[in-house]
Amino acid sequence: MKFICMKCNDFMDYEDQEKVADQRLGLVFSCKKCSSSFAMVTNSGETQLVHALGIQIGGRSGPAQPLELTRDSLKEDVKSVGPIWTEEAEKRILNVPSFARQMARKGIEDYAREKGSREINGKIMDEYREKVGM
Amino acid sequence: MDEDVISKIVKDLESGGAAPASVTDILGQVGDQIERVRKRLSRISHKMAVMSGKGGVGKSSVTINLALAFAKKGFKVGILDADISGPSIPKMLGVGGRTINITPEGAMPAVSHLGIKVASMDLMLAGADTPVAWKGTWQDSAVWRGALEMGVIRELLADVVWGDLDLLLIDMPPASSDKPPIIANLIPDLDGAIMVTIPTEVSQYIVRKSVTFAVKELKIPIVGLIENMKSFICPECGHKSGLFSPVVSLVEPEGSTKETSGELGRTMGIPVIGEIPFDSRMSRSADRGLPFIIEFPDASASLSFISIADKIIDQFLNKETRQ
Repeated sequence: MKFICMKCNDFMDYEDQEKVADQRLGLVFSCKKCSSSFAMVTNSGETQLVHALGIQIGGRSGPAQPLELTRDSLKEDVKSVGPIWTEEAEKRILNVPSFARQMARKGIEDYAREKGSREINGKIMDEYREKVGM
Repeated sequence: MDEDVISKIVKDLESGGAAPASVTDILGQVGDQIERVRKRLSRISHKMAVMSGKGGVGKSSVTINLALAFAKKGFKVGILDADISGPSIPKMLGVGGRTINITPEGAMPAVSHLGIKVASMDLMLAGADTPVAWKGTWQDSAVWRGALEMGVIRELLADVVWGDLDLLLIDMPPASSDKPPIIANLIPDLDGAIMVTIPTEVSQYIVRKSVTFAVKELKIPIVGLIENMKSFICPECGHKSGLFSPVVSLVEPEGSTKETSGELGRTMGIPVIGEIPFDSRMSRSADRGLPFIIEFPDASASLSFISIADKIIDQFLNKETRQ
């Protein structure tokens, strides 16, 4: 899509973009001859459809990251929720003194992520305990 | 605006000359996406799609057991679960509790029995009960969902660290004509499609459409036809019988009871490369994540998978390409 300055009969240049609301972008165009400018606001459907194709509106600022479209688009992915604690693991973490429990919980969750496990169970806890020498 | 000016502008746009370059550079970004897929898959010697057109014929079960049959023969095998909304491969391969880890090299696949690498939407979800649900207000738009799901499959092809593989099997979603062409176009040098059917007229009616579509529209060679659940072997006495009623041939006069897998293959010019007997233990194996061919290597169905793998190796896979 191109825009033309009707006063100068010339193409307008894309200048800037701004997120104006959820899933809506404001795109600013200006005429290099007369400096007049205008902004258009995309509707959310257009923005989402372009995003669904893995296209970054306004161009990429860096190389694409692994599975970026998938991770950005899922309502609940494994990263947003974190590993799930089994009943057994929840019982066992209660054995850790309360002042250290939060730290232990975070350490175990980080270890589970590192191991590529979305579940924290007795086996993961045993492995973590061995790793940290508890 | 002056008509001459409009005409000049249109001419400029068509020639790509005077118009300012697109800042978004859509073509450049799409080109990068294609290049990433090509580069990642260049280390995979063979790529085959497992298709049926019809759901519920045991396509995923055939995919995993066939993949393991190849692995038993020393092949390095990967499985891409292209069923985005109903991913089942990780659970069936016992890696349902794993996730795909992101590293600087890319996304690390789950590794299952015999070193089989697995990439699936299921490995991205928060938990076993989490559905595949997307952010955005266009959830109900089929166009938007379709575009997004294809984007996800493209990423699973391009961003997963498959490494050097002899064979990548792509477990296709159950559809005849919407997703398969897009998926097929995403995969450079696709060797062919393995078609799965069961001995019912309805299944074969749909499979015929899939075969025609794959050959005529997608120009994909058909590796062969596998007839799943062909017979039932009694676990008590070993007696073999048909699981389904004899199927009336689709090409023979009404009343004929010729079995149709051979007929279907013959009339469509594709080889029938195997028949898998029904075994009630197979679903339990899948539920436990311990594939049938691993748990019961000497069962008749397991031997069928090995025989099918042998045929595909002889006819389609160059053994020299084995890593």
